[in-house]
Amino acid sequence: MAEPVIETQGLTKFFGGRCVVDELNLSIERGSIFGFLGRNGAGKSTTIRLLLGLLEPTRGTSRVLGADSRRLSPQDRARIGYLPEGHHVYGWMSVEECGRFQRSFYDNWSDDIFRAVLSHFRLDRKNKAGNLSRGQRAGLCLAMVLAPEPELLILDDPALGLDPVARRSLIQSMLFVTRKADRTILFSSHMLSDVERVADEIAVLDRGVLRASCGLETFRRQVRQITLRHGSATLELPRLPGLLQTFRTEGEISLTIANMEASDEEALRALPGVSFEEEPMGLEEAFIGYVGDRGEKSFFTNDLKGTR
Amino acid sequence: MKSLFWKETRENLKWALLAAAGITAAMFYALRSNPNEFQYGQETWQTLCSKPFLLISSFGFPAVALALGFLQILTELRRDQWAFLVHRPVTRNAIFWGKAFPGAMLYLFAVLVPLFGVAWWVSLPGSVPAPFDWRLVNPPLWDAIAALAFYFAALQSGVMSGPWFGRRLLPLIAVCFGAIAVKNSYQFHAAVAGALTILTLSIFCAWAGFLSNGSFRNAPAWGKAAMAVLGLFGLSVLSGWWNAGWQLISPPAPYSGEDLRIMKDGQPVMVTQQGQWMKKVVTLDNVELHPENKSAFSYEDFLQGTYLSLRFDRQFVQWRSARTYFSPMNGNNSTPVLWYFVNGPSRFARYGLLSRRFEVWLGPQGMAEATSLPSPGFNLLRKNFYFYGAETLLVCKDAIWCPKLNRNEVLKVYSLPEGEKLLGAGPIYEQTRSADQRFDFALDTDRNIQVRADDGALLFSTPQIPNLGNYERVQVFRTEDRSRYFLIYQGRYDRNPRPPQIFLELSASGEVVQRREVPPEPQEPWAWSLKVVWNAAMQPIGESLWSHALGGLYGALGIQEWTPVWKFAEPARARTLQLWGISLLFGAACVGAGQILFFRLGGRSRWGWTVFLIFFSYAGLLALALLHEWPRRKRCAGCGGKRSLERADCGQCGAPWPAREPDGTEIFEAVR
Repeated sequence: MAEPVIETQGLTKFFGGRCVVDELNLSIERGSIFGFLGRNGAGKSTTIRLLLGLLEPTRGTSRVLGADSRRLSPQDRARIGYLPEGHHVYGWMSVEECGRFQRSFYDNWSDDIFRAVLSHFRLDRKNKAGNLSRGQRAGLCLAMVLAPEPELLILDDPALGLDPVARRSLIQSMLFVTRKADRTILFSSHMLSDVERVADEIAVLDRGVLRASCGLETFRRQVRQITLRHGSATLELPRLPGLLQTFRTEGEISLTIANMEASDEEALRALPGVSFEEEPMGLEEAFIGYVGDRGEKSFFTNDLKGTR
Repeated sequence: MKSLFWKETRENLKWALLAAAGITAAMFYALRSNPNEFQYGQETWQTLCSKPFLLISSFGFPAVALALGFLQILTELRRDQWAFLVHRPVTRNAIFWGKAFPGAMLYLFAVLVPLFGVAWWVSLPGSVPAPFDWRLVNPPLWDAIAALAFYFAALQSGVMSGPWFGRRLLPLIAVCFGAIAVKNSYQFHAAVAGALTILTLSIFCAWAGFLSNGSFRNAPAWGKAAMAVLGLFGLSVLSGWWNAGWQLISPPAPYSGEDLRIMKDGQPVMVTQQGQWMKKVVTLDNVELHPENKSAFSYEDFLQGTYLSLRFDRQFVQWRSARTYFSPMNGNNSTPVLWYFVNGPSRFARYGLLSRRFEVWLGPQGMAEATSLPSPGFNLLRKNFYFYGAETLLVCKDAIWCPKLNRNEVLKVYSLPEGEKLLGAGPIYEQTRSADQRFDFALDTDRNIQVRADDGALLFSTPQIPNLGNYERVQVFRTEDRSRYFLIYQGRYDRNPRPPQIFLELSASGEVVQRREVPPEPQEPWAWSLKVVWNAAMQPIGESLWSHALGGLYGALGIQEWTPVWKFAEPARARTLQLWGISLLFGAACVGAGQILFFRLGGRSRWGWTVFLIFFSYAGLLALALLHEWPRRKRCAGCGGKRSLERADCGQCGAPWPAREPDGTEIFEAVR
């Protein structure tokens, strides 16, 4: 097995007494496009900063491209492209000056790539960066990150605040990196349609805890939504180890289950007077079901009686 | 790094230009040169050393430095922008210097260009009717250098993480030390030492802060040491502010002591004084006197004396005063000319009040055109001379001169005979006398004391007392009817025991009528007390040793007198060593107390901090507690003790952190 590009062991970060990243063990293979998912405050950005040595872990270790994150040399950093959240550029610089400024830090700089990404986003080189739209700024940042042709590209919520067209352009440019097989992308996002389009592996972080790390298809397969229709007022369910959410309405129970075993399915199907239906789930539904509030919810029309 | 220089300069040049414009406007406002304001109280003749001008350099320069520092760092510190910057393939060293060097240059540009521009304007003939010496730039220049530390403190404060009061606020307070040293030091070398020490520390601290990504613990050893020492300076400033504040609430007791004075009728008396209050007045035969028709005696009830020096060769000049280079002479308001005594060429210079231009020199050889410099000038007894009084005597090594500036001349009123050494001279005090009235003056040589009229005619001469080397100075008094003179010789403070004061009463012809010796005020014998021990404990040994070593350095450089502790006379040596021993013991006690903190620190840093605490005791402990990051702890499920969150295992029982129980919802797939 090839050496992983990113590897963490027991990576933990506390801010004061609050645990933000909890014992994270993660391994990302060279050549993969890795989606990093989680709700707001789940610890995605903090993990990325820990990986890049921008934050000191409370305990645990992480290695990126074989180097300890806490001791990344300038040479190591030159191999890692990093696009932070918010797409910050110096507003007083022109697009051209941004490129020149960035180029001065890199021995390996492809002006062709820089120009190509700019033209993909229809950016005028003479424009002031401060006058660019959000999408254009994202394009400029991406051009600056891609031009040194990094081996590993880390993008922290790159599509945040972008319209669908800009998002599509961003993804197309980002995928340009993977024209070479040994290039790896790690990106965090809330836009699950984007993740679905490009990622082949994902990790799901929930309140600092890594709860899933698998292929995209595996995740979709493992999170299932079952609807049970029944005639009785109450229905006793068997014990389901992977049960994430139960939603009861009159005559219907909707279950979100992870890792459902065949025996669990059989037990559900065997319930008397119950029809068993499975609803197909996209990544977004699976993700919401997986990291959404757990437990039982109900919505009965009887509850509305007396209200106007 | 060149591109970082370019970026920082482009980004912050506008702020520097704005600051430069503000500083220039403020400087010209401070220098607004209305000639009618060239009075003693206003002191605008001091131009670059005048109070309003130095107010700008003392407070304005640090404000500019702070503003530029914070503008440079805080705008960049938006979380992701900072991450984007520091992730670039460049060392932290380069990032720091790429920011700090252009930033410091912009600050220096913002303050020095206005300063030297204004100085150049002042130097132009016709700008200000006063002499100009480029060394006048020194005080504001050193203010600017000291204020540079504020710029680095702002960088450090911005980049450091953690509680605001320790790692962020303390550096900002600490750098005030340098500015205060420059502003308040009487001597130039102390100001320079203070400014450069703090500036160097602040540069190292900011640098270390960048290298460690804002963490104290991850800073290199030299950075930690610099931050800790700077922290101590911060605490020292805080302690000074605390004392000043406390004195507002609880003012210290006024000066209290005994003084030999002479009543208007010529009777010598011993006055016990408390502040301005003449608490008790007794004759030398111990008979208490009471004033008539008032509750207490006042200064008007006593004769005012003329001080003549007996031994001082060096005259200290406050280095921030323009009087170091020239002094205005009396009469500047009543005539259309302004007279100054200029120390460099050692002669008088006349300026036209309306033309504001230099007109003539006046030296021992008389008047000379402004374009020529007659030689030699007055060979003054002391290097620099302050002129404050109405009547002025120029005391030279071989003669005494009396300037009559309204008549554009200087009269030689006394020539020293061969083989004698002139020690001092001064006009005899008279309560009511106009500026142009004749006066008498007293002078002392190593052989005698003389009183002469201002045309040089000798009124009398009396020989000096024996053992003159034991005496500091002599005061000369005269009764209002001019029938009697009195001399009081004051013993040197550094003689142990202090010699008695000698009182002499002389007739108008200088014959000794009465001679009395007055023993010095008895000193309370030194004794151990709780207060002595407390004070010794409150002075860390590191501070005592540092002061002593710095004194040694100044001594070696010939700047001031210094005696090493091992050459102190007994019992002073034993006492000093005992007090140092108490400081050392208290430092050791602080090391003991520090074990609670050390417990959380591992490795070699524990030993470094032990040495630090021995030297700086409670102050070091406080600085350590404020500056260091202290790892959070949690109760261990295994042993119940508190364990550090930073360690994988419990420091006491060795248990690892409990593994999280899977709930069956985890989805993990083996890596391909």
